[in-house]
Amino acid sequence: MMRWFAPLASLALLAACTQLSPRDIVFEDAARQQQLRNLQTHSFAVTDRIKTMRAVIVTLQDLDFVIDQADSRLGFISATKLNGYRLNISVLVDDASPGQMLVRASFSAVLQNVQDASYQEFFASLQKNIVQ
Amino acid sequence: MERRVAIIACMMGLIAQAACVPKPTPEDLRLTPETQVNRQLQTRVFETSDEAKVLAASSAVLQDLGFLIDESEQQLGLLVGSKMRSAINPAEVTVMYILAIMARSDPVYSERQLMRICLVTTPSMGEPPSTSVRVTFQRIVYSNQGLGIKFETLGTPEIYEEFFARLSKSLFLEGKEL
Amino acid sequence: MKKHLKRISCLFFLGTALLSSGGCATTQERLLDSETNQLQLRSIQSRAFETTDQVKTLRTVMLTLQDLGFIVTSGEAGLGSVTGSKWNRGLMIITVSVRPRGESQMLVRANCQLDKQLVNDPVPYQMFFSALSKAMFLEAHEVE
Repeated sequence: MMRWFAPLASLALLAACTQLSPRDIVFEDAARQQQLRNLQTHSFAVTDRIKTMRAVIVTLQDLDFVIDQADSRLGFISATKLNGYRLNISVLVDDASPGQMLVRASFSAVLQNVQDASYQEFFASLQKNIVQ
Repeated sequence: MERRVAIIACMMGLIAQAACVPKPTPEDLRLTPETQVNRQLQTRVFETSDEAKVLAASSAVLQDLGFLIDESEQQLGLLVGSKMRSAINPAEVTVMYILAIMARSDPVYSERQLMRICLVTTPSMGEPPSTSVRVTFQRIVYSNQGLGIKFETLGTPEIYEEFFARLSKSLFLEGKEL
Repeated sequence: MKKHLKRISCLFFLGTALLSSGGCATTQERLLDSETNQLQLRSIQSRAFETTDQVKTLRTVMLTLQDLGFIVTSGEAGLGSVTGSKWNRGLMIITVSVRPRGESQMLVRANCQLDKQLVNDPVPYQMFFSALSKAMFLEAHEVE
């Protein structure tokens, strides 16, 4: 009887110990974060933020996304594509750097991995729709 | 014995279909020639430079069609709406119930669907000044157990035609194709 | 055979009890859990910045959240509020509100929850405000 107690109890404790820590979640894997940041950000030589946001919306509609939310003052757009899967995109358009429009996109899909190449494809599509 | 095998094979076939969940690929973010075709189907151009008026009329049409307005952003020419409707298909329910009884389990069938519409206005640069309107549709179908079972983009030439017919009426303007 | 089953189920319940008791919470976490009052929580979650530009602050918050690997799921300038989420073996949702404070400051308050439970550990908030402060080029002042 006691034979089973120790391993089971330690398993239970171990399971309890590997509970997620908020600290780990906020700051994890800095190298991967930097890599992602580079993938997710693209700058365009344009100056009109609203025009750029509209170009993002046109591109998203081209790619069969439906916009969920957009705020022109914040430069924020979120959208969803339904094609058997549910793919979300969150876009920030930032004009803080003079002469440069920074567009930052992040994809998410429930229980699915979004491949890195998706970002390149998205920005290539967006480039086609951006006019100065 | 044979009947049981047949039923199990049937259910496994249905499960396999559900299990083959499509995954998003980088190609899904690429513009294709088909994109241009879709854009033309989804867009009509109205001879007015009053974007606000077009948005207001669009909002009215959306509400006429039973959509609740979820998002509206004047600066971006954006309107988003949604509505929840029944997705019950009597034939599907019947089949699922029969299968469920034979396998002694609970039936799963389409129950509700959330339909979403995204409408975007764009002022046009040319002469005469005009505003283009583009609509896209999508839906999520939920099962009687509350799970999302179908995620798809909607849109046939007929749907767009009917939508723009209503918008034209609301605007007292004719919507021309791109 | 029955006796054997009884022992195994006993052990099973014991294991489950240990799991659900959150056996690894530190003393500090337990302390804050039971004694966190509203004022303490507010001071953990809030910082003031010397700026009157609410929209710029909100935008910097959004960029900072993305830097930290969150996906911004909603942002409303009118409400002065931004929400982000992050999945890593648990769903973490953070809501940040930006409101004017007095004549010359903006009050930034972050509310974080992990798997639907409020995070009242001050450290993740410190880390967030440290990143935000750097991005804003402004000092984050603690609020009483």
